[in-house]
Parts: sequence; C-alpha cells; structure tokens
Amino acid sequence: MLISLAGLVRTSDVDPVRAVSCAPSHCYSHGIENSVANGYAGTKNTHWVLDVNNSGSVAWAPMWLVFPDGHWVEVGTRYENGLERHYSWNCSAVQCDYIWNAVASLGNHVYRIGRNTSDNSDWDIYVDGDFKVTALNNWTYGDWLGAGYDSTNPNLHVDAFATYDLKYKTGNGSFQDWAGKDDFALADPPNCGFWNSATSWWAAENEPCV
Amino acid sequence: MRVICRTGAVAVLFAFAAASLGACSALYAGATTAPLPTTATPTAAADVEVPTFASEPSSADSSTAAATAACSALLDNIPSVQLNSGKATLAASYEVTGAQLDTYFARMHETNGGGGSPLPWEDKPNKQLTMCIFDGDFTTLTPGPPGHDTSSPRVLVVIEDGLADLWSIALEDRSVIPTTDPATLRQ
Repeated sequence: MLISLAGLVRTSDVDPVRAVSCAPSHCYSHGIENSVANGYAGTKNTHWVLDVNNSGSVAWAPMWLVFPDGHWVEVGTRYENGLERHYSWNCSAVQCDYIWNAVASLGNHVYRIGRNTSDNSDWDIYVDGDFKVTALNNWTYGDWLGAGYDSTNPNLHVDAFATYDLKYKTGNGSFQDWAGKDDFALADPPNCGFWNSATSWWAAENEPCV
Repeated sequence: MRVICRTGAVAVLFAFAAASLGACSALYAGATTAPLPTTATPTAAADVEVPTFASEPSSADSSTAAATAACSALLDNIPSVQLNSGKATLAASYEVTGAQLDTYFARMHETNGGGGSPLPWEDKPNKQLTMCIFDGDFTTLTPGPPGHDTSSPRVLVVIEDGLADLWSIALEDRSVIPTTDPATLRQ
C-alpha cells in the first residue's frame, strides 16, 4: 500500500516506491522502524565515504528518533569535501539546532539515542559507546525510528552503502534487532533503497542500489 | 561540466565562490567563508525586537564592525540555506566568546525547548567567534525525517576559525532566535 504525505512516500511493501523527486532540497532514502508502540530508543552502525568526485558536496548518514508530537533528535555522520564529522540535531516545535558537531575518525561507528539512565528523563547521544551530548527533551518515549541517507543535492553520485545493525529498545528493556522491515521513505529519483535484511537498509543516490 | 556546489561548514576562496555562485545558487546556497572585506561598515541590527528572554542592558557598541563585515560577506551564500525569494538581510552580528555564545543558546533553549548539554563551546569558553543572524524566505538544506519542515524566516550562523556553519533554525517565528547581543547576557 502506498501512502503519500506531502512529498513523503512510504510503503509497507518491500519493493522501493518510485514516486517523488528530492529536488531541490531534500534527498533521502530511509528505513523505518515503527511497529512497536509506546517507546523507542535506537542504535545503528554505518560507514561510508563520498566519492571523491563529489568533493564539495555534503551528505549525511543519519538516524533519528521522532517523538509523538513530531519533535525529533538526530545523530549521524556528515560527509563534506572528503571530511567526516559526527553531528547531532535537536528539533523542537519552533526551532532546530546543532547540539553537537565533532570531527569523526575513519571507520565504522555505532550511534545510539537513548534515555538518560541516571534520571530517565532526557535523551542521550552516544557514539561507539561513549556519551557525547544530552538532548534536553522531556518526552518519555519515541514514536518511530528512521535511518539511512540524506543529501540536499539531487546531482550527487553516492554508491550504495548499508546502514546496518539496526536495533531498538523500549522502556528499560534490552536492545533488539529491528524486525519486520516496517516501512521506508524514498525520494526517487535520484535515490534508491532496499531492505537487505530486517536490520540493514541500503541506500544510494544516482547510482544503483543492487 | 559538472558544477560543484556545497553546503555546511566550508572555506572557499573568494574568487572561487564568486565564479561558482551563479551556477550553484540554482541548486542551493552553500557555505562560504570569504576573506573579510577591509572596509568596515557600521553594525546595526536590521530590525528591532523584544528578546524572548531577559537580558542585561545592551552596550552601545557591543557588536563590532568586523562582525558585520564577516557576516555581510555571507549574505549571498548563507551556509546550508537556500533563498526562496527576495533577499536575505543581516538582522544582527556580534563578535562573541564561546562562553557568551553558550549562554545565549542556553537562554534560548530555556524559552524554546530543545537544546543540548554540554553546550557546544563549553570546553573553549574564550574562543573568539562571530555570530550572524539572517532573515529571509529560506529553505534549510539540512537532514531530518522525510517531510520535516525546511522553511525558515531566520537562521543563526556561527563563524569559527574562518569557517561558517549553520547552527540554529527558526521554523516559523523568527523571534525564537533573538537578536540580543550575547555579551549582554549574565552568564
């Protein structure tokens, strides 16, 4: 079943939907975990590098947690001009901010958004197990998780890469694998994407996904 | 010929920026930090508004000509922002320290929600930074959930070590990013 919401195309089918373009400002290919109600935290593992021919462009490998009222927290890797940086956005209803921006080392990184374990109130950002920043949101649970690829340039050429080891947790439980290939969002053209497994979302821009 | 455009925090030679701007602006406005103009211009906020958080009385000369020059140089190429119509205007520009900017963000988030901790410049309170606030009919070129709001009437850019980067976006109401001079806020 295809659902189109103001440029957003999501489907419960496994096959990618080809319906919208990302021009001019938001290209994306995201896997989505949304089948578990009442609480999410998330982790993902990813590593990729922009083609050197795209030096000067910027793209992101994000993961975000969306709260029931639409507020969201995002963490991931930003690729620009051959450099990688960790970043995190925090968006309230009225404002969006970088809350963290740091040089990233080459290699795979595990990003995690989770509840603060000391007071169980705020949401914390971890990279490779290390605490980085607290997102000062007071919502008790997230509504859904997304992860994959973003850019703002429909002319980028980015080879297919995987966002993998996708996990979630609810409440005080332990992290579990994403399951069910719940949903995805795709701007196509120029993006493609597919579930390689229930815990691995592949994405690309102006390049084949398979 | 492929035209390379960019967003985010970058440094570009002024000549390259000027040569590329026409083609790139068709896609988006990228981040550009140009060498500062040698001719300083008076600093003045483009509009006056009541801050959304209490501030100390502003000093008469709290924003410097250098800040205005640095921020004005970005007017046609604001980082990670695309101008939809009209022109961007410089609403405020200040030279600040890391501690002052952290205080500014902390007060802003007390009012608006959001934010994070530790604050971005907490470990370098004496760092010299330039804060620029731009008004315009913007689309922000930033990542997020599909369908997220990318329209903005006001953005805040920080220049650090010659690199300009978009740090804060007002989603609907520009007053959520006050033009208050961070130096006037009690830390």
